[in-house]
Amino acid sequence: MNYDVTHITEYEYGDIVPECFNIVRLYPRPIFDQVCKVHELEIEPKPRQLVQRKDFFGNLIEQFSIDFPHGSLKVTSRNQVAVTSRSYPQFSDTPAWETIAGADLSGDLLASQLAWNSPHVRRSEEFAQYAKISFTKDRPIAEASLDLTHRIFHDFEFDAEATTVSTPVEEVFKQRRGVCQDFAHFQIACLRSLNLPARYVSGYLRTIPPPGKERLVGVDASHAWVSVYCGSGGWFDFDPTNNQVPETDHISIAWGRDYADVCPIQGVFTGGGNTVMKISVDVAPCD
Amino acid sequence: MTEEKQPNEPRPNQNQQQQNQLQQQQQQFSSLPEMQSLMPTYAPMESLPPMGDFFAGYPSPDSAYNEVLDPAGNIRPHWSRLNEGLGRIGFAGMERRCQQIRRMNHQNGIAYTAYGDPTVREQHLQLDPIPQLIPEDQWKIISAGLHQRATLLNMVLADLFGPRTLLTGGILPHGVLFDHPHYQLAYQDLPVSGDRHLHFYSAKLVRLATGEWWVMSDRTDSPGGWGFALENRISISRTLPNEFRQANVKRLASYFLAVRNQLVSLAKHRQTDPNIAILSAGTGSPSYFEDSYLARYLGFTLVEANDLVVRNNQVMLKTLAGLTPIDVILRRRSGFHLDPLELGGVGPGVAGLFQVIRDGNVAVANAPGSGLIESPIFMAFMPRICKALLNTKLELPGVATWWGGEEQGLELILDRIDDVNLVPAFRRRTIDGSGRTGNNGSAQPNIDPQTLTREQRIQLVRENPKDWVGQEKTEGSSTAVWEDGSLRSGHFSMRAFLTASDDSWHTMPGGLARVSEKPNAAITSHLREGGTKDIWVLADKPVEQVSLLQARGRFDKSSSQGFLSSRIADNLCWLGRYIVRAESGARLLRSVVLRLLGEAEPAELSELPPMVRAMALEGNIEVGYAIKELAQQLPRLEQLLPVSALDHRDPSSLRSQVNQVVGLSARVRERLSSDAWRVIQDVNGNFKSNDPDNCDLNDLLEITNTLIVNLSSFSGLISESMTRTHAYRFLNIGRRLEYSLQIVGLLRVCLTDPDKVSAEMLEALLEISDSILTYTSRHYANFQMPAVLNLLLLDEMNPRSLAFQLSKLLTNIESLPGGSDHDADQAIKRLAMDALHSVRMSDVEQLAHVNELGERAGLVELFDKMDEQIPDIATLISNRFFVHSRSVKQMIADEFGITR
Repeated sequence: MNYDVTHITEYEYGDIVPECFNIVRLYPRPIFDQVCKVHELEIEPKPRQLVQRKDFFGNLIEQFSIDFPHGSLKVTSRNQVAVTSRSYPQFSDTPAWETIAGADLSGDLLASQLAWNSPHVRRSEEFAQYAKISFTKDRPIAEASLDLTHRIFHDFEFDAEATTVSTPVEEVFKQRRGVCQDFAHFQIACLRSLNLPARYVSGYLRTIPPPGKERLVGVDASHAWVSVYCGSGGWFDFDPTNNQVPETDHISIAWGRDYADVCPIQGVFTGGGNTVMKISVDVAPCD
Repeated sequence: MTEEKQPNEPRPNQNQQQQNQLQQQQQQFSSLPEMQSLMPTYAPMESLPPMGDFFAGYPSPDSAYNEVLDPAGNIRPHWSRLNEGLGRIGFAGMERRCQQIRRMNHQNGIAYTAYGDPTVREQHLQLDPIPQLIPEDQWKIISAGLHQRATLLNMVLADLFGPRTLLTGGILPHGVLFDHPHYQLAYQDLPVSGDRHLHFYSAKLVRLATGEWWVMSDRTDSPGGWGFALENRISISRTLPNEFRQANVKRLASYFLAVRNQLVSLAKHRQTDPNIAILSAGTGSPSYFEDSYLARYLGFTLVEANDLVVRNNQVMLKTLAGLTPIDVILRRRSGFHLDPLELGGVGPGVAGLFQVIRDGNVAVANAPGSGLIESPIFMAFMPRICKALLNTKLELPGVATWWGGEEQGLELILDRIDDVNLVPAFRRRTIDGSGRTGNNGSAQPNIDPQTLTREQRIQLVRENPKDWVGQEKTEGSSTAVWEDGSLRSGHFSMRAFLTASDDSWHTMPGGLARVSEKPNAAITSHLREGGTKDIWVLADKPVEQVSLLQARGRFDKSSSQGFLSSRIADNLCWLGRYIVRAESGARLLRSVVLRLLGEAEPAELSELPPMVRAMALEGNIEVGYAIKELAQQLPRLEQLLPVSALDHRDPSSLRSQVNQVVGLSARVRERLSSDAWRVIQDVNGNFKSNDPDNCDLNDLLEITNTLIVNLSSFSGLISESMTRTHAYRFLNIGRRLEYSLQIVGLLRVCLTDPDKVSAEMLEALLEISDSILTYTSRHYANFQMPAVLNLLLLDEMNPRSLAFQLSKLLTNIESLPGGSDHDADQAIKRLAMDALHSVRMSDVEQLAHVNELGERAGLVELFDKMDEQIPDIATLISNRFFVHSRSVKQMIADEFGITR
């Protein structure tokens, strides 16, 4: 599947700001068989310098600052991405989850690091209890994770009004409402509370228009889901918001411990007034 | 370490001890023939110390190692010389010197506290006049052990933020790093300067009953206390000059030279004359005194995060002359939020700093993230880490520590729950670097386990074993402490300081000793409680004289201190304004008080209502007093005045203005002379001691008198001793601006309404404006409007006149640094000239003239013009020169917001 993805972020500062510093993670990293053929980043006003580097998890960071007075910032990311179907092993062939939970991960620190607390995710007995209904004795880890994905989809209601970007995962669990970011954080919290490594994936989801309707341009959204460490089987993706195992409709950008590590645009500025942010995402299939 | 004392050896009884002391005393005197005639031939009475044997009456406790006396009760050899010296000074002499230290430290404002907060009393460190003595051979052993420990800790940091072999090799459980409350991904693989994370290290040490030294804790983030150690040394060497000279005390200057050399070596691009900044958490921080002390001593620029900005991938200091690159940052605040872009947070930080570090354009010491390993949990692993990384044993053992997160550790803690101190496994820090400990996770934030019962402590550990370590309770050694004219014993611990030096370490030969009444050495904090001591490391032979002055001579080339940051300039200008505001307020208040205390009935005094009105307009009292009808309903002025003058909650009260003066002085501390600073300390002390509820008009008179004298002497010191740099000019500009506004405000209230002007009024005005002497010498007591206007407004010879202020203002403005913004400079100058010109061109008769409408139109017009132009000058100067630190904001990228 080939896509043209356009992601536009517009930030109105509400007043002239003398300077801003930004970190952008908008490059769809190679993952599974995904390939990004073209990536263009356009920034207005144009910064004097743009630095590219890899972050700790290997995601591409584009970093820039604007050191002259300006009132707004517009970042446009244009990408051509090819996504091929993922050839997951049979879920029933993955190891029993206990063998992963009890494994010595000294040889795979990257996986180990994803089993601990992170800025948005704290492990707890409460989450472990919720997870254990799916994680029954000796159940293959991918199977159990899929069951957990189903349950979150059914137990939680999508509600864009219920949470904000800073709502703690404990609160999300209490009210059983939220958006993709909340569900992903919650599922990660469940998995890590069982000592299972899990990572947060940011990306896009292709929206399929209702039969007979045209695809609307620019109304797509950033999306988030989870990836679970399944031992020798590698990492398996699950999307609790859509009750899916991501295939060719999901385009990955970056992964990390949680949202804080992969936030598409983060920045600081001084001054400014009432700030307004506008985001427009367009995921256009092109074959 | 050698130690003669056997653990089970019985203590000598009291009589034996006295006998020993007497014997020893005689031995000592026999070695001092010239003293023999003064020698007492009888056993001294208890209250009097034997001449020449100062420590004879020192009560020595049983269980702990005694620093001064050996187990037989004899003075340890390395104390004998001091014993003789102090013996000559005697108890009474010692008490006098002790009082001197107290006064000196108070006046110098040596404190570990935040300045400028009116509700907080400064906590002055009590410095014990008796130094702690450690022979050099012993010190060498301690120092070698600390070198090893610092080397090791630096390796741990390099490993944790690099290859992480301690984790892959199973030496450290992964959670020690990944669940650390201050762990940040941004620390991983961040390049370090000088090939090391750790440039400064400090350890707390105690001596056990066996005579062995133990490390109680490590400080690796931004260790503090070495400035205090130097300050202590200066105080004690002044207090005991002879004893100091005779004792072959190792000098501290070499350490500060090493610190400087280390920092200079980190500058990549400017090895010859690098710009080095001390990054402080600011006046609100407890370590601010030390920060500014070190900045002055080392000749580095003191900065706060808001003074720095990243431009073209360089860290720049905002100075009056523009942006100046900074090569090296000595970090004196925690690494937390240091770069809000990469570490998050909205507190003060330098956005973009980490990328500059990555590009090697600035060196930060210690490296961000170094503080992680201060957490006590690392103490539990140090022996294993040492084996793994250095393949040897720790030369200097750490206090025995077990982590509840390990099965065996938990068992040991629970088994020995009465013999261990429970300490949070992870040390949490605030921005200012003060170590506020709390445990990991939010479970029980601020419990002091030592106050809990045994069962509660067991429960605490069982609930969250990973959050706790148990540390063996240790009793610090005992030493002699001076208290209220006699000796007592206190428990001794010390903080030692190391700086990296080439590829090794340099230990400060000395340190910061702390004495505590509590025997439990683990739970005392160095800087916030109780007494400190100077530590003398004693050499066998005369020491090499490293003069501090000589050492500094080498630094004089450094231009760092020449920078006047915009923030300091801004603060100086406001300091000038508040000094004048407080002084004017005090003068007006004093004149009102004098009238209320006088023989005449206040209601009959025609000059009083306008004066009260002037006070009300300045916000010094309730506005209602200016309105006749309301004034009758309010409490009597006599009762209200002291309360409103001393109310610190009211931002325009006299007390608040004085607090502003003190707070601003602290912010520009490194620009003020010691004498000027002492005056400010006096002002502060005098004001804080007054209780508004127990203060009458007579007290108020005294308070205002003292304040006026103090503020005048401060102003005098400034004009006499402050070099005419830009710092002086900004302070002066603030003063002149405020004076001008005060004169205009006062005269407007009192003189523009012709009906209210009386001879008494004119006299009062001259009194408030401190011009009465000049006036009466010219015109005797003939108070005439034109003559008064002339003296207070137009006479450029009178330093209290408006014309004088404006003319000085212009002179100062003309000497300000010219910069790139020529137009802005010209605009300020033009406006100041215009204001001065208006005053110079005024005609006294015209100003005093009352028109047919019964108004002094000319006077009103001049005042209107002044009230418009003077604040405009202030605004232009502020816009041109001062950086308005805006708060840093995080861009809230709510990616899913569009659907929300």
